[in-house]
Amino acid sequence: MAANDLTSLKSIAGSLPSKISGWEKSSTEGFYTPENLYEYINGNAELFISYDFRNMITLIYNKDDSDEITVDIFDMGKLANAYGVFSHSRENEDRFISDEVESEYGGGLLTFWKGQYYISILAYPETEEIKMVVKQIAKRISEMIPGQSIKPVIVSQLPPDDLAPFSIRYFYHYIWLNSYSFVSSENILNLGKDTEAVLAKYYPDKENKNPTIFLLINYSDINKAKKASRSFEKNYLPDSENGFARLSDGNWAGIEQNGNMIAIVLKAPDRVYAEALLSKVKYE
Amino acid sequence: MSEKKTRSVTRRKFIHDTSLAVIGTTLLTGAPGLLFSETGKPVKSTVVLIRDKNVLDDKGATRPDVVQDMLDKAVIALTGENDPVKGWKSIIRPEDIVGIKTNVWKYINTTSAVEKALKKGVMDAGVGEQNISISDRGVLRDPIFKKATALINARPMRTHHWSGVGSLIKNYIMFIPNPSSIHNDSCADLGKLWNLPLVKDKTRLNVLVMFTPQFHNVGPHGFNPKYVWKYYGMLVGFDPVAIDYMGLNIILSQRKLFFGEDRPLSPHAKHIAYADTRHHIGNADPKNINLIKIGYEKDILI
Repeated sequence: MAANDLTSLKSIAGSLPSKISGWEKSSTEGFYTPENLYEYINGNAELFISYDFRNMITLIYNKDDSDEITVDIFDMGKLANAYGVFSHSRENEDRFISDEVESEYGGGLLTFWKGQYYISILAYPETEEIKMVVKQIAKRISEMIPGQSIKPVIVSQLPPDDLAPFSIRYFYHYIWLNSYSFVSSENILNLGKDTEAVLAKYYPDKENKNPTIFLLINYSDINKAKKASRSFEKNYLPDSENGFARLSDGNWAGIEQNGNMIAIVLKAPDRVYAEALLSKVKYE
Repeated sequence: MSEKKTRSVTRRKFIHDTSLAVIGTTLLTGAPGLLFSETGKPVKSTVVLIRDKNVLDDKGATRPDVVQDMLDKAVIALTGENDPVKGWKSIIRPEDIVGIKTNVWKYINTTSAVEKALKKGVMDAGVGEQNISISDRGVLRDPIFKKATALINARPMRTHHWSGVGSLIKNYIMFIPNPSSIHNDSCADLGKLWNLPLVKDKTRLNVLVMFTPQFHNVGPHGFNPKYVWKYYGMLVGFDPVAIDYMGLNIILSQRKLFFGEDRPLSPHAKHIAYADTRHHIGNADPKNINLIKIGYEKDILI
């Protein structure tokens, strides 16, 4: 789909029923691109732009003049970006719509992704009746989007043991590097549109609430991976020994470069665990 | 002469030009009195945290009478005066033209109760209603804001997808025609808004509303009631950076409590620290902040 091609979005929005259980679809829709998305969601636009968002359509269902349900459908250009923006801040995953669709519902907000689309349906204040209407709208949207939702390969390369599955974050803008533990305000790992990264939490001890943080990055070539590895060691692990160091908080950090990829462990309880995690990366 | 020393001299000169009563107040409380609108950050900033469990009714709506009482108490604590009208008179002059910068976000806003209480305070100081305006997104078109001699800054605290938190510092983003132009590096330099000609040296009071703050962001609108909690509080002071610092720490504490582990904001709300270290508009160092707590203490988180 071309960047400004709204045909598919219009088709999805147009397929939604004009009336559901007394809720009426608004006659007008809003369309936004990266250039003007901030007019709709202001600073939140940057989140979507950081995932290379293409365009979006928004519409409203009203009832009794006061309550409303806001439906936003974002075309993220490709599956990986739709998954990325969904993964960005979800705390859980459910199958609110169907077994095939990853979603998160809570408090009147449903977010899900399918294909290259990220969808948000916000119904506030929440009631049981509204919840059912939200489900119907979501099901219809999901049916209108063909194909499956296939996660980026790099997600499957994470070490599986001790992984908290809902903690996985997929991104390529460096600003999201600090999602779980502050690493740097600067782009010390040279992340960008030609890289992809996943961040995840690991719980080596189920009783211990302090997770180990794992970061896996795929670069477009081995030289970029090597350069980023050197930059990380210089800026984050200046006193490292063979890529490992115990930091001032008592936890261990380590880095390993393998071909185009870099794996980084942060906040590990000891060096043995850090090394064990790194050894379990499923490099291609 | 260092920049810090220059500001200190300016501050002393301002005190000299101010009435003796205000000087006494200033020295008594450690609050900057009229200094809040002066260029440069104060040496020590006073922040009042006031909480009242009755500020929300059974349905979660704000009770105006309780808000008024909270603001009155905060102004008294902040100025050291013995009644709120005297307090307001030490903040606003009768000849001032006053813009109250509010925040109208659909889901959590400043609240009309806070807006009305602030307007009452300004009028109690002797300002005519025709010289007061309350606005958010229309400040650049508002004739009162265009010629304002004084600003009051009030907004709710909430997490934000790009700046970490929506803060008092960030509330002045509407004073530029293209707000997205300051989004670079996760809004790191929001502090520079405070040096705009329309704003510089004008802010007399800052109120960070924390009746129902939001501590986590999900979705395009950045709102999910699941991550909103009843805190029943307001942070009031002259230094927006010091207030934001305290508000941010309350948010971080709630995140830790809710998620059961340290959970830094993503992105980090770096604009608050930079407002101090880079733009010098206030204090983000707890050593330089005097926090006064009033009222409800349960789950205060700070």
